[in-house]
Amino acid sequence: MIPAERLASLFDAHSAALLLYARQWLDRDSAEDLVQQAFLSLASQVRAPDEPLAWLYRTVRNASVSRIRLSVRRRRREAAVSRPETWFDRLDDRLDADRATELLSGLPVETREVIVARIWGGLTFDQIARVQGSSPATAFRRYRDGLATLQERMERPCPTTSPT
Amino acid sequence: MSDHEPNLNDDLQRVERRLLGWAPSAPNIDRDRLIFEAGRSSARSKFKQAFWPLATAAAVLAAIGSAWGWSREHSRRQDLEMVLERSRPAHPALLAMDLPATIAPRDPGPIDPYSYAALTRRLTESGDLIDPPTLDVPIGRHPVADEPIPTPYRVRSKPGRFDL
Repeated sequence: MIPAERLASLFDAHSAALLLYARQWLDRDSAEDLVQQAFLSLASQVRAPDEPLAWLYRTVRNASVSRIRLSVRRRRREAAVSRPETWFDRLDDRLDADRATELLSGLPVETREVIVARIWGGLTFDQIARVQGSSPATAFRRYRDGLATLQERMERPCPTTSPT
Repeated sequence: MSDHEPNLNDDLQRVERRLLGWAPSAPNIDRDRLIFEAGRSSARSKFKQAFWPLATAAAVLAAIGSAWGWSREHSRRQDLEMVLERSRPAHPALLAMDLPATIAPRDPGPIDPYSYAALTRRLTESGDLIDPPTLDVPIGRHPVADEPIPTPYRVRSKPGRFDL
């Protein structure tokens, strides 16, 4: 069993990143629901996992993917994710939240997943590879390519927004 | 975050640092309620974990106790039966009868020499029946009754159609 203090500290430190991670597949409400379920599931584990953070990421990923597979409204949800609400609260002064969300959501989902787990989750490439079911080299390659794509798009001039 | 990034160039490290400054949106999850639910879930899990071992142990103890009780009761009953058997007086009716110590074999009486048993014994012992048994009645007389011997029927003595 994981102690309540440890669970609380994990929630404080990683719930936002886990929510962002789940939102790679789901809308905000479903993602929040799923993150909560993941923490509850962690609390009910008879034997606490050796790497609780990686366990949480894996649980969130598996649940997200299975929820998407089971959903008859898969396409609609994916469309909702592709036109997301803002994923970030605080950004640097050169970028607004919508633009950052757009940049990140423009990446392939596997790449996004690695970047979120690495940057905001703090997982190692070994842990990410285990979560994704790939090799650490593949995870690193996706990470590097994703960063390069983001760099390129961030340096590109912001597209003009059409007046609506 | 330096476990697997030997090839990350300066530009990508700069992008990485910039992304680290972005803060993902916090989930709208009631933290205290989550911790409370996690505690309940953990308690339920502990109960579930302990239930089957305890139930199994109780069942095993009950089985052992029943077997021991049955064995004890059985041996006590056997001892009691033996004590009662030893201490039981004979039945009064049996005591009143003047029974001989041993019962003499009953005399079967004279054996009919023409009986199946006698003839069979004779055949097996001597191998033949050449020596006929001595009869105590003359031939032509019925051995058991003093009835008059019927006159043999002769065809010639009958007048009429058979008179040849």
